[in-house]
Amino acid sequence: MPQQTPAPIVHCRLDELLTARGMTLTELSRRVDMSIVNLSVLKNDRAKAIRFSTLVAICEVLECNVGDLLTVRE
Amino acid sequence: METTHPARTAVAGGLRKAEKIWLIVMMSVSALVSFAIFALGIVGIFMAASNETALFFPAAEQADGFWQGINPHIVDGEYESVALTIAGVESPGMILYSATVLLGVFAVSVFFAFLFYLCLRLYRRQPFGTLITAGFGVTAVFMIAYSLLGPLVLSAAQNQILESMDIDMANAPFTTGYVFAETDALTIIVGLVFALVAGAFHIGHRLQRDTEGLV
Repeated sequence: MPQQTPAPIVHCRLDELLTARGMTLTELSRRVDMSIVNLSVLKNDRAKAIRFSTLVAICEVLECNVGDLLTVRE
Repeated sequence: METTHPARTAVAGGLRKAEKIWLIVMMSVSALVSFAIFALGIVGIFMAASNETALFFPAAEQADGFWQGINPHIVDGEYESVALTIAGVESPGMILYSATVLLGVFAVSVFFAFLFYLCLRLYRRQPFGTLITAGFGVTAVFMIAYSLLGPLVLSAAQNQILESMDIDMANAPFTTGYVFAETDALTIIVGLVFALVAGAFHIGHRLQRDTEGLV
């Protein structure tokens, strides 16, 4: 019986980027005007979709590119 | 230094509180009305079991001079319906009549229970769901069907009862037959509105599913 390979997932590197910048999730939440709950969903790879506006806001605050924030993990 | 938005927070908080209070009031009223109508239905069952029931007929046209006969100062008058409470009548129409009336009474009770559930879903901020959509759909179909068929069945049952009572209809102050009242028309319109709401909730449920996990 052929083994099913797990589907690649989009991994959010929010935790790493926040650590590198010494920023907390609470501060990011305040600066991008998003709830901590939603940021936590994103951070823990539980988000199923992300708005362009959310992506742009986070990247602006963290001074990074979309590719730095999101990667595809096999 | 962290900045806060006191004005925005206050407005949002106030609105949420007002919403919650409103929903709690609505839930309480719905639950009470549902319970009261259910109790009314139970009383109706006991009345039917004791072979006693209330019948409603459209009033018959009064003969010329009827009102003036009561008092010459009365120029004209009218009454729309006659309510009779009868007891001890043996007729198959009694069961049909009571069953149809009680079906309507219990349906209204269930509707208010559904309204309570809808308020509860709104309170939890999860208004869309399969049960809510189905509830609106079933309510719509029932309201339309009951408004169209209910008077027909009630009229047939009342005719059976009157036949077994051997009433002289020529001198009775009421008539029989199918009566499609304004309330029935209004119920059909409300039923159609509920059908539209069911459609809107169906679409809303799909949209809600699409936005789950969206940040």
